[in-house]
Formats: sequence, structure tokens, C-alpha cells
Amino acid sequence: MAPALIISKGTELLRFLPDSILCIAAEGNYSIVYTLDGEHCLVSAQLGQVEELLGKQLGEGAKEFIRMGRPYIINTKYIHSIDIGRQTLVLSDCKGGKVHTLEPSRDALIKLRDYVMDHSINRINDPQHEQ
Amino acid sequence: MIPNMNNEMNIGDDEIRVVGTSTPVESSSSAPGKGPCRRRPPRWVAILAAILLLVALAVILFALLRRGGEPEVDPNEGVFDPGSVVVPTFTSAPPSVPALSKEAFAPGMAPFTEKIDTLINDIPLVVLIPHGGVPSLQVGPMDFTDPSIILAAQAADIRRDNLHIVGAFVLAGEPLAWGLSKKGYCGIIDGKISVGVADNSPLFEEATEKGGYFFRQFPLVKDGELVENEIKNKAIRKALCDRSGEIFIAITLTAESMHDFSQALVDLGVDNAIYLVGSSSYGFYRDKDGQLTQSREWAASPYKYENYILWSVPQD
Repeated sequence: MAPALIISKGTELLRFLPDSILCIAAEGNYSIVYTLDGEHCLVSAQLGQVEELLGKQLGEGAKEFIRMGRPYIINTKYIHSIDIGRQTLVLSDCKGGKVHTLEPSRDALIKLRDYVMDHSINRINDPQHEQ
Repeated sequence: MIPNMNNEMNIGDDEIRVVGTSTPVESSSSAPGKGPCRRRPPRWVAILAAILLLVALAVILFALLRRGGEPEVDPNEGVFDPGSVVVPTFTSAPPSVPALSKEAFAPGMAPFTEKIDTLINDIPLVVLIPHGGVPSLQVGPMDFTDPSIILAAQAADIRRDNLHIVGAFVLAGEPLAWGLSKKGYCGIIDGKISVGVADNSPLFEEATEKGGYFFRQFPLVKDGELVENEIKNKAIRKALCDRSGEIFIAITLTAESMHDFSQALVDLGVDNAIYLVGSSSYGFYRDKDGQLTQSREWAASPYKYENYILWSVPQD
């Protein structure tokens, strides 16, 4: 079975394939998982707990996700634009799927931008790094 | 199962980290190969810095324009030597050396000037030591035919603007000028020369009271230490020197900077020295045989206040 984020919700069990997750946002003591199909799902776990689950359950695959400050975990595969001036981060698969706009802090955006740039360069220089 | 750990508070809003790791991602330059970039300063800091930079540039530009504009005549700027700002400096202590004079002078002998050629720091120097002459100052044309004068050299410079004497000057008790910018001085009281460097010298008043002489010039050596001057060009240099009480005039045979000249005097063992009008200034001396040697051929000077320090045969 492919690695996935599995969260138990009362009598339910939720399973999210990594590529289906656009981002996860904190909502008080809960978290909301936004998926590529435009749906979102409230889970009874704080974002830090979700982050830890991601790390444990996805292993190396969790490194596609980035925690951005307190409010967000994003899937870096779907970073479409980082606008430092407008302080927005747009997530999209650019295939007609859901477009989600976040407003992280400016410094977090700058760090993300630099991370994406470095990560892209690393992949260009080391194609085997591409998964 | 959901872990109980709450990591939500373990990250700041300005931080990011890769999930599954605990180390925050540091911001790095977008250019490859560069290290982490620093936090960008607030925009107002950049604006303030730009304003300060512009103000500094304006001040510098203003200063440069002022320097390059209408030249202002320094009241102490001379005809023969430009003015300078005196900056004391330091050098090694003068070595203890025997007297320069090789000639013996006894009472009853005719006064004369002893000439010594020497080489200090590759600078050829002529040292003129007056023996038996009485020092004084003179304003006006020098009579080189007067056999009673055994040594003469131009002393104080002349202001370029009003053609008066640069610096304080006392002629036989009569003050002719009161300038003070040049710190070197020479006082002649009761036939005794004192050479030194000071802002204020009581010798000026003493000269006026006792019918003495006084003039000012650039200081070159003070208490065996080199005194720096801002004159940077090279020219024939002359100095009035006091070396352990031995008074003489030193002249370079080659064009030298003030610094090198002063250093040579220090190395010669001079205790105190002040500049004398150099370059093409006029002067002469008479040796033991009465032979006259001039620095150049005499020519009438257009300057009314051209002045000399001279040593002449005492009047009986």
C-alpha cells in the first residue's frame, strides 16, 4: 500500500495520499486538510500533531511537505507562485484543480522562495534526486 | 493514533521547516553558491541610509567646489614659500655628536664663515657656521659688497597679498609684523640667537624692549624631533639651526621635500631648526680668506620687505 497520511477521526479513519494534499491549515485545536480536488476535511488534531504524523507515516515522502510558521503545512509540489510583495502563496497543480491562496508571514515566504530556488537547482544538478 | 506532542508552538510564524525534520530552513541567496542571506533591513532604514549618503556627498562636493573656486590668499602665505599647517610628529632622538665646526676661532681673529660639506641621508648639505659675527636682521636690499657682513640669508617670507612680512617681525626693537601662524621663531637679544618652536614666545616682547630682533618661520626641528609641515613640493631648502648651542645655516644642494630636509637636520643632531626662505632666495657668505660666495647672482628685489638674517663684524 502506498504511503499515506492516516488520521483517525472518532469512528472514522481518514487516508490522504501525499499527492492529494494541497495544504493543511491550523484551526485552533483542529486542523483542516485541503485536498487537490477542492475538498477540505477538519481533523481533531493540532497542526503540530499532523506534522508529526506526516513525518512518521510518509518517511522520506514527508520531505515534500513544509511547515510554514504556525498556521500551515504545504505540499511543495503544488507551489505555483510566491509573491513577497503581496505576501501570498498560491498552491495549485496548474491542471485545473483547486487553487488555494495562503497568506503566510513575509519572512516565511522569503525562506520558502529561497528553499524552492535551491531545491530546484539541486534537482537540476542532480537528476537522480528527482523522485 | 494521534500523538500527544504539540509541536505547534515550536515554530515561529517567520520560520519554515521541512516536515520530518526539526531544523528550520534558513533563508539562502537565490544565487547558487552563496551563503545564507541576511534579513533584509526595513525599508525606512534603506531610505535613511540613502538620505545620509546624499547629504555626505553634497558636503564633499561643496568642500571640493570651495577648494576649486576663487582662491583665497592665506594671510600667512608667502611669496617664496607657500603656507602650511604645522603638524607635530615624532622621530628618533638626535644622536650625540661632536661639534660640526672644525675651525678654531679665538678673540682677535677676523670673523668669518666656515663652510662644511656633508651628506645626510643622501642629501648633500652645506653647513655655514658664522664665527665671530654679530647676528641681526635687516629689511631691504642686501649689500653683498659690504665686507663687514660674513653671512646673510633671507629670513622671513613675504605675504603674497599685501607683500608684508609673514609672521611676527621685530627689527631693532621695532615691531613690523604680528602674524603668528608659523610656529618657528628666531629671537636675537643682545647678540644672542635663540631658535625654537612655540605659539607664543616672550622673545617677541623682549626684542621690542631691548632693541632686539625677532621673526617667525616654519618649524623644522623641535627639541631634536622632526616637525612635519604640509609643504610637499621639493626645492632647495635652507634652515637656521641650533645644535647644542652651535648656530648655523644648513642648505641643501638638491631639491628636497620639507620632510626629508627636516629628517636630515634631525639626523645631523640639530636640536631646533626653523626654515629660512629657500628656493632661489639670495644669500652669501665670506670665508676665512674674505672670499665672497653668493647663492646666486645678486639682483634688485621688487619686494620692499625682503629681509635677511645676517652676521656682521662687530662694531667697536
